Amino acid sequence: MDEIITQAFAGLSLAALLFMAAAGLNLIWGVLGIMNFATGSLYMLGAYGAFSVSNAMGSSLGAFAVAIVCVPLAAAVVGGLTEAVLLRRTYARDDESQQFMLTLALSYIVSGLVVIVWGGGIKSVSLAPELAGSWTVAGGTIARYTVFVIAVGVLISLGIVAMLQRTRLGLQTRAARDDRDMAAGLGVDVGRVYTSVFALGAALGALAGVLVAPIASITPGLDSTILISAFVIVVAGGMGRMDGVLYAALAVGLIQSFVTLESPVYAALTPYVVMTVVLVWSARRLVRA
Amino acid sequence: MTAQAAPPPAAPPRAAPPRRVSAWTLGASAVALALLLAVPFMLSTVYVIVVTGALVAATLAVSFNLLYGYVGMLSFGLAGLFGAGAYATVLIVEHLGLPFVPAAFLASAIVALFGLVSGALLVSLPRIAFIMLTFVLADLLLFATRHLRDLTGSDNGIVLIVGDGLNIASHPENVYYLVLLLGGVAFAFSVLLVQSRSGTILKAIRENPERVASVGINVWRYRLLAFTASSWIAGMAGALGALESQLLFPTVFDWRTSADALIITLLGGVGTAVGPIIGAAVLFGINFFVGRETTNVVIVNGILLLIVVLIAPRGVVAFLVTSWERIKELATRGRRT
Repeated sequence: MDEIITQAFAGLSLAALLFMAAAGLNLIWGVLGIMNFATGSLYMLGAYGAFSVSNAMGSSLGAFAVAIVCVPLAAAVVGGLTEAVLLRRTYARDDESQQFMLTLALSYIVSGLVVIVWGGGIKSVSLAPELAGSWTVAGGTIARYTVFVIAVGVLISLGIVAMLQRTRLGLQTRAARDDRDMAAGLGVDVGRVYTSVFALGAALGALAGVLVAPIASITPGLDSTILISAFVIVVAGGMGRMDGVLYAALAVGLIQSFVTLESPVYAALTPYVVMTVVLVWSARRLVRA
Repeated sequence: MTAQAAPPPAAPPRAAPPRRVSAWTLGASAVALALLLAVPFMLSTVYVIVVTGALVAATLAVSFNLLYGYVGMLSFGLAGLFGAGAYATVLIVEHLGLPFVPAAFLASAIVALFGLVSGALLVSLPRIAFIMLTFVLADLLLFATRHLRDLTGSDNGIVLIVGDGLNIASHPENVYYLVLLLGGVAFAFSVLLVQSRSGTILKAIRENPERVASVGINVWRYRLLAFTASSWIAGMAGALGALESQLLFPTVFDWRTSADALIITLLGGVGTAVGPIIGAAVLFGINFFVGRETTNVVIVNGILLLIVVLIAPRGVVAFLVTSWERIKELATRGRRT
């Protein structure tokens, strides 16, 4: 029982992190049809951003709050500019691979810049005292920080749903996703929607990076680690569907957390297994239909 | 990649003109071949090893170009096939005791078979899904190599056992010529395939798959053919990579190997026979000189790729040719008025 509680919370917080990184990728993929290879770079920049903030302001709760707000905002600005200045030039070419290659180039540039700005060594961020430590519930230990990450994850997923379903921008986003030309014909500024969505996706990736900073070692290789998991979750979630991404993130996070108890090797296999099961399942459904 | 928007003025015709080997092409090929053959006589050992590395990278780019340049399928899993070819070669030499060359052909045949089986599921996916799943598949192979410790030695690496004649340290020129020969075989295979009747159908699929399907051609089968052929070349490139480094780590499966093949092909020219070779020469040349100044080569490659995608999506060669033609056109127009 005690172990189950501990692993469940660890799994949920992992799921929250995976969800945020994958949701950013998925949003951009679903609306713009772009596979943003720089997702991992945004995550890495988020973590380094959190490091710089804690370096400047110490490791208090206030400093971490500043990092949580400001770093994703900065990423949103960078993301929006990237879409408006660079990606936009390639939309006329009838080939989705072009945007993939552009974001691939950006991920190379970012990993080079990170070494220039922060150096190649391992960086770490220490937890604010309020977030460190743990509670004991029914014999299981629950790290406070996992609860914090889960709470942020829940808020973010509610926020995304509210944004898409309740706001004007959300309505326009759904319209642009379903039929770009029709939306433009009805007076939706599709260019602005694309920029906003890309900025939002970038902010989500960076937020996941900020949140992982206190519990990961921050190195220039951080981008690759999240990239595959995020991709696999988006594929398993049905490519473009936000609810699917949430379920896939939960499945991967929880299964991975519990399997780690038995064998870390099999735990690392979890994303692939989940993806394969979903792909085989959906292929069977397609065959039947 | 003719799907990209050509520069507005003087858009080149989409259909390739009927292939006739001109005296120019023949002459340039002869000079290039002579230069390549002369490399060990002209350059010192260090440079011979650098050029060997460029040839290996060019071979992998040939594989990428065959699939993306001629069929429009961007595979981001070449690192997986490259690594599989490299590890299979080393393991065949070690466990079956074959000499290097038969081992390389056996290993690349195994990789081609793997491509045939995995391709059957992958090739009809939409573009982005194809990129993603080839990428994930390569990562799965990296994972397997890391964890099959007894077979692959995991992060301790594995050594290719070859006779003294093929030792990269003592006989780099032998390694160079063998890489040139086998890379040349893979290159010739790709050129012959592209110029064959099947190659014409592949190019038609790149331009408009629905149209090709509508005349009763099985698009899936031809895509699978291209994927298998490209896998064979990638496997051969892996075998050559094993010969060049002679010590393998799971990092050969890293996605950056796939990205390098992409950058090389784009630099040289997508969908042209010589593109991968020119691209490898350009990239290795730039990286060699940049590498003297800084260890941060990755940022330079990123900027190169960014510039190529934005400004010259059909490659440096095509860009220079169109720019030259435009300058000539402006000059003649200026003279007339």
